[in-house]
Amino acid sequence: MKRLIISLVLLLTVVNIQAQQVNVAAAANLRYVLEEIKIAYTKQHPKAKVNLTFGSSGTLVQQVLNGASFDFFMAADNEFPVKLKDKGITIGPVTTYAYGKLAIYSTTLDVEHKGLDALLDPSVKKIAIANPETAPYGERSVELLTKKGIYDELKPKIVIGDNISQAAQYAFTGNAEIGFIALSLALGPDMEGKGSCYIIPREFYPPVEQACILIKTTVLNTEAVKFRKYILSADTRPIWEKYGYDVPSKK
Amino acid sequence: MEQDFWETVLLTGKLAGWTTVILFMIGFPVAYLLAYKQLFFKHLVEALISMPLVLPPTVLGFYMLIAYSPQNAFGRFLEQYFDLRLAFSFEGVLIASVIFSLPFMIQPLQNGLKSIPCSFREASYTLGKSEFVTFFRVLVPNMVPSIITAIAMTFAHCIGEFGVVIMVGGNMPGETRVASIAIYDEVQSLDYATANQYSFVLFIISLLILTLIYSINGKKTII
Repeated sequence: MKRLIISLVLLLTVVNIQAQQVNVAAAANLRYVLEEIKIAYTKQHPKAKVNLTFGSSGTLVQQVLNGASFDFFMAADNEFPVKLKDKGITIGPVTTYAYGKLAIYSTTLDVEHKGLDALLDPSVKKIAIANPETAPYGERSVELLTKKGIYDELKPKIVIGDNISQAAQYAFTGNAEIGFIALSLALGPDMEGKGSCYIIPREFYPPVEQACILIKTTVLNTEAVKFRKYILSADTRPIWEKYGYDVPSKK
Repeated sequence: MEQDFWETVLLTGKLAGWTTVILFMIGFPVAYLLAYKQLFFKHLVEALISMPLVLPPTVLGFYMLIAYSPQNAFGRFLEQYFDLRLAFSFEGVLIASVIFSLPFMIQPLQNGLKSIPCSFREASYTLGKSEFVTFFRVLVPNMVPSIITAIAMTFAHCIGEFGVVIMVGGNMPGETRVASIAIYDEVQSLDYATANQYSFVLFIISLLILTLIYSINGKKTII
C-alpha cells in the first residue's frame, strides 16, 4: 500500500513537470483574438497547454489577489496590472501588448451610419455598458458619454454588464438596443455581420492601452514566459490587427 | 454610500416581499389541488414545481433573457401591447424570482395540508360545511406552522437569489441591484468594507428568519 502511494505521488509529480500549463487571466475583450492566438501558439508548441479564463479586468485582479492560480494577466488597460505589481505579486515589467478600440453595436439600429446620434434615438430604451468600476471599456464608455454631455440624460437607460462580453451579449440578444463594446468582439465570429457597428473615432476617448504582466508563482513557469514572449512577438501581429487592435510599433 | 446601501437593502426586501405575496396567492390553490385532488398530470406538475431545486439558476436566466428579448415573439408582444420591457427591470426580475421560489412556497403548504387527518375535513363536510368554509375554518387554523414555514422560506430564499438576477438584471440601482448582486459587485471592485456591510445584514436577516422557522416547528403540537 505504502509503495503504491509513493509511486502514485511520484507519477503525479512527473506528470506535473511534464505538462506545465499556462493559466492566463484575460480581459473579456480578448475572447476571440486570444483563442486564435492560442491555436497558432499550440501549432508551434504542440505540447503546450494554455488555459484561458475571461472576465473583467477588475474581477480578475480580485481573483489573483485572492490566490487564484494564474500565471499571466492580460488586462484591458494599463492600470489594473500596476495594481498587482504594487502588491508585489508579479514578476517583470508591465508591458503594453495592444491598443483596443471602443465601438457601439446594435441589431436594430443602423449605428454604422448614425454614429453616436443613434444613442439619442427615441426607439432606444436600454444601452448596455460594461461595469465602469471593473471594466476599462465600460469606464471609457461612461467617460465618453460624460464628455459629450449626454450621460445624465441617458443614465436611466443604462444597464450594466458584468464585463464587456455581457454588455455585448445584452446588445446581441436585443435586450438592449445599443451596446458599448470592444471592437474585437464585434469582429468575432458570433456577432460579425449580425448587426451594425460604429467604431468610435479616436479623438473622443483616450486610447485603451492594454497591458500584461507575469504573476509570481512558487516555481517560475517557463511556459508562461514563453507564451508572453509569443504574445509580444511579431508573429501575432496579423491576428491582433484582424480583430481591430493596434499593436505597439516598437517591435 | 449610506443612501445606496439602504436603497439596495430596501429593494431586496421589496423583491422578496412581492415574490412572497404573489407566490402565496398562487401557491395555496396549487398546493390544495396537489394535496387533495386527483389530477391527470399530477406527478409531472409536482416535478415541474420542484425543478428550481435542482436546476442551475443560469438555465432559467438564459431562457428568460431569450424570452424577454424584443427580437422574439413574447418580448415583442409585451413591448407592443403593454410597452413593457422585462429584461433589466424590477418586473422581469420579479417574474424570475416567483418562478424560482415556487417549491419553497408550495412544498411546505402541500405537506401541511396532507398532514391534517382527513377525519377533520370529513367531519366538517358531514356537518354541512362547504369546501370553502372548511378550508378557512378547519384546514388553515390547523396548519399555521406550515404556512409560516412556507412564507419564511420563500422570503429567505428570495433574499439569497443571485444567479437569475445577475443574468437578466443588468445591475441597475433601485431596479435590479439587489443585495446579493451588490456584494458580488463590491468584492469585484475590491471594496471589502461595503461588501462586508451587505453580507452582515443578509447574514443576520437570514439567521433570524431560519431561527423563527425552527422555533415554530419545534413547538408544533397539532391535535
